[in-house]
Amino acid sequence: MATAATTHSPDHGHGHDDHHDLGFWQKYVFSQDHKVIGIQYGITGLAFLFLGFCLMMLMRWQLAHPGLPVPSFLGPMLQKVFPAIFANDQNGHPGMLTADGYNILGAMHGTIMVFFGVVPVAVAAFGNYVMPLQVGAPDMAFPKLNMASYWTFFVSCVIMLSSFFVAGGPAKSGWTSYPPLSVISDSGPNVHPFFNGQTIWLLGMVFNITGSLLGSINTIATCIQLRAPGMTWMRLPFFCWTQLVTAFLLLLAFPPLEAAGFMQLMDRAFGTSFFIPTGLMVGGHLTHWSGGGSPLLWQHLFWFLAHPEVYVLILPAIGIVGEVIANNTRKPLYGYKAMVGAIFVLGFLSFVVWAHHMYMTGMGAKVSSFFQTTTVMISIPSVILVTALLLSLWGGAIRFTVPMLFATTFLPMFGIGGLTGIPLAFNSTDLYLHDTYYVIGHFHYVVAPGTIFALFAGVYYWYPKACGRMMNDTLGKLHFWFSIVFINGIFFPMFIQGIAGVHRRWYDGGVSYEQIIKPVLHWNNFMSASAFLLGATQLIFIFNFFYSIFRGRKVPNDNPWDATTLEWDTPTPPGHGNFTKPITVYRGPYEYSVPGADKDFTPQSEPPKSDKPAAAPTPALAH
Amino acid sequence: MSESKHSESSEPAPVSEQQVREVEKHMKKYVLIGGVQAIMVLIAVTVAVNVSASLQVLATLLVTCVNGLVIALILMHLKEEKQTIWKFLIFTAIFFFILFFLTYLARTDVITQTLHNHH
Amino acid sequence: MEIPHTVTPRPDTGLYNAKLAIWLFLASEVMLFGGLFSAYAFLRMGADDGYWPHGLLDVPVGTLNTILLIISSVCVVLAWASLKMRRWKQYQAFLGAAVVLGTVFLVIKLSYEWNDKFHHFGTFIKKDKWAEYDKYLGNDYLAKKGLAPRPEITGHLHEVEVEVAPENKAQLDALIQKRGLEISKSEEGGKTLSIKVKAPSDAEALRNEPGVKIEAFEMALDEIYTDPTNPKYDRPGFWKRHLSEQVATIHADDLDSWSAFVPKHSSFLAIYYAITGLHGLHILGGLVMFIYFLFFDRALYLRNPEHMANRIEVVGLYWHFVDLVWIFVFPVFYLL
Repeated sequence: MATAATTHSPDHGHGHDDHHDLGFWQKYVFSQDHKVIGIQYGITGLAFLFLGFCLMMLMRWQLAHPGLPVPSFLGPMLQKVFPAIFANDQNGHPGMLTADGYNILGAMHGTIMVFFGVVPVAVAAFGNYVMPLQVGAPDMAFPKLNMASYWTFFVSCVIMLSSFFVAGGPAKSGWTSYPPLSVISDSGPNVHPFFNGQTIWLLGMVFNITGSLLGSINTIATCIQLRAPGMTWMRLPFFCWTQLVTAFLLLLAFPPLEAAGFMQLMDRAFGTSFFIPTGLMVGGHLTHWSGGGSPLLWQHLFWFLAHPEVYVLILPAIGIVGEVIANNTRKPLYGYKAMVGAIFVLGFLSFVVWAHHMYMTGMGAKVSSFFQTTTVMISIPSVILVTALLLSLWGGAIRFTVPMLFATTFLPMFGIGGLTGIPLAFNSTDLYLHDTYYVIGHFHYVVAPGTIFALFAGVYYWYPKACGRMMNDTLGKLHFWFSIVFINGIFFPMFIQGIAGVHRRWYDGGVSYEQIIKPVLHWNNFMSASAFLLGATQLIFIFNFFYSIFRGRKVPNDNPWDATTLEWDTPTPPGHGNFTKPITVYRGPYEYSVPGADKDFTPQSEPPKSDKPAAAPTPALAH
Repeated sequence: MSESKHSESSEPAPVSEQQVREVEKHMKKYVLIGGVQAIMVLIAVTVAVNVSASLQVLATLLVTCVNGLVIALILMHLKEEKQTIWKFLIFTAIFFFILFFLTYLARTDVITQTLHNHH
Repeated sequence: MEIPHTVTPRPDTGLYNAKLAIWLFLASEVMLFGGLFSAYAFLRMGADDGYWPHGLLDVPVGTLNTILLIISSVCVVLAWASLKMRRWKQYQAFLGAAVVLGTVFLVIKLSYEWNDKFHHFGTFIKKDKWAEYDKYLGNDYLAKKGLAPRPEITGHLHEVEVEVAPENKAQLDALIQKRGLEISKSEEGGKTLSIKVKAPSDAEALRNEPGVKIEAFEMALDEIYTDPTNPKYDRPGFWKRHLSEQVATIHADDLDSWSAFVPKHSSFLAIYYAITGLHGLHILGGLVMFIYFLFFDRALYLRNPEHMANRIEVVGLYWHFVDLVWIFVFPVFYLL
């Protein structure tokens, strides 16, 4: 352990600031400080992740015990609050999930997890909190815009949640909202013509997208314009690179979905036929739409966003894992330049693979072959990233801290998620696996034990900077070990079920198809039990999170992990304006264990010794 | 940062004669560009009304694209714009054209074709 | 600590923050309108022969609007140049002119162009009934000449003939009273009624009325349908559709769909309203910003005139982009 840096008092940062007399509302609620906004995003996002998880646990109850009411007081209570989702069972007991309710929970689970959970935490929370600190900026480039993004996002959250309380319940056409189902659902005499589930869903998405767009502009401008002196591109921490590329993906992929959202809103509110084909029959009757549209148009515009969105989910996670691994192996990232190149290639290619979600629509062999080729190509940069991270472990003096446990686990979990995607990239195998639990298993391995584990790593890693106290180590390790066991308990059997042909949308968990899938049906119980235990495990994290704010071990200094990047040069927690002194960067981001140095880490801001040449070695060549 | 030292009520310091002449020269150019654009819109209308149906779409869009380029390059100063901006605009342009790829995809789709045949 | 490069450019990129940000924003706008334009191309290429209307919009008015926007765009760049010369009055004059021009654009768009469409009426005839209406449609003639067919008869709606169930009669009478409509003919003891309507929205109200079945429409025809085999109509017209005196009766059972020229009328009008509506919102946003900079931002000008000039440059870039979008909207919807 090297010599400890001194601890700055947090108030010191305020001394440089003109606005230190802000009242409570401006300081903590309508704040323009990127760190407060980051924490706001983080808390909101984590809350939504938990909500999304709860929706899933209700679904898993139904899958394991089809037709049985949700037990104890929960069932009657849920039915009272959400009459659109629950009903009495055969014996008149309240709290049984209805088929419509199952679809609602499925649609809202996807929407909430992707757009209201993972993206706000991975991109907006960590991007807001950490990225400006790492580039040495006093704040985001546009603090007011930053506040506007959060509150736009917040409005979208309120809109989306309000749909749980309207007649007919929230959206029930899947998180993909495929028309014509999504255009004709939630209509009729019993629902409001405008304030109904699907229309509110669209409205919420339009706000969510707008918030994302504003945020991504801010991120890019900050990353390009506000880098501290000496912070050249190749000295930029890897996490900032991932945030930059992610922001570009959001900036350019989200607008087509916003356009599509407007069009679906018009289809629902004004009766247009953007996505309604000519001569659509519903329930044996010709519908009143003029026709001339195409459901495929929606699918194209949706996946034009939603495939890059997958990389929006995964890139910041890889960035966090990169930071944590470099810090805890005490050596530079292996192949930093190759990794930066890989994320750019990944970002670019992610725009030309979208139709691999649509092999079953009958696009024709030529188009399918094209997207099959690009999809296989995109695995190359992904493999470069994982390989580089894996090689970074090689020969390192690894400290298995809690963030490092989560970060190292990310690698095999993301590996399983990625490799099981290859059969889905190929047209012929996808035709069989499409819409089975295999697909669910595949993308959940990428985002749940992949991305979300990386997010946990990030929370444990940067928590001391934000709160001035460490999270409890024992509780952290308990959280980790239980999580890793139970999460695999949920998702691995999905591959087994999926290959056996279990369809992802069976509301009864497959009981009606028992003859076909009997050998794998019993896994439902196992998976659901794992899910409930995983949910219980998260209580450890929630407890630890709040307990440590008040009772956690105080950080010994501003740089408790002995890290090299600039965020550890700030007071703990950083005040408004971040740095207490002008910051200059002299070296690459991961100068750990530099031969001849007096300690095993050399912060980026540490000036070179006068007898050494000023140019810092590039991290890629350091080993 | 060049904050003006003048008190709140007075006008900011005037700029140099030379700079004024420079700006005025540019202003003439902008007015001229406005005229050129208006004429090109009229050309587009004339082309669309008179050119044979087979060429109409292509010819009108061609005139329009030239007109659009004039706005982007001169009025929006893209001609003299910095490399950073050009870089991401080129990517935006590429993704924009990829987006139009889906019009081709529409034509190869078996389902919508079937629907159309039954109209 | 101040945020750097809010006014002065960063040396290595040569940009101040807002300049970079506005171009990023415009890049996302390119993709937003790109999504809509690709939807346009998708729908147009997917439309059946004759189902994509040509010459539906009024070209002279569209041209006027285009030129208004071009002039306003030049005004904004001149306003920016005026600030560069520190001429506040001149700046106000140019930006004020841009506000006026933008407002005129919106007024023409909403109160003339859109409003006119809301009062125009169209009926799509079922394919197997085209022969019965051929004196209006002229499809035999068009087929012989190898031209696309006309599936629709358009004009102004005068009367709607309805059949009403006895138990719903009172409710219908209340509706007629409420909307101030007039019954011109009543047969079979009030079972079949001819109702004079003021606007197509009255017909929509009748469609949604329980127990009421629309039997037929009486409409004044657009000129083209009075003389459909006249070669001068072989190519779509580019001027406002002229209404004739001739009235035709069209039976509701012969129709695929009917409505005013509102978004649900057809794919063409749907995407037309979507794109011009979104564009109009952009104009509105620009006008709000202009007004703020005109009347509420003089303090910044006095404090830091270069910062003010930057603001006008940035909002100007946005305005030029809105102009640029219209430069494409105009031919795509009005001319092609």
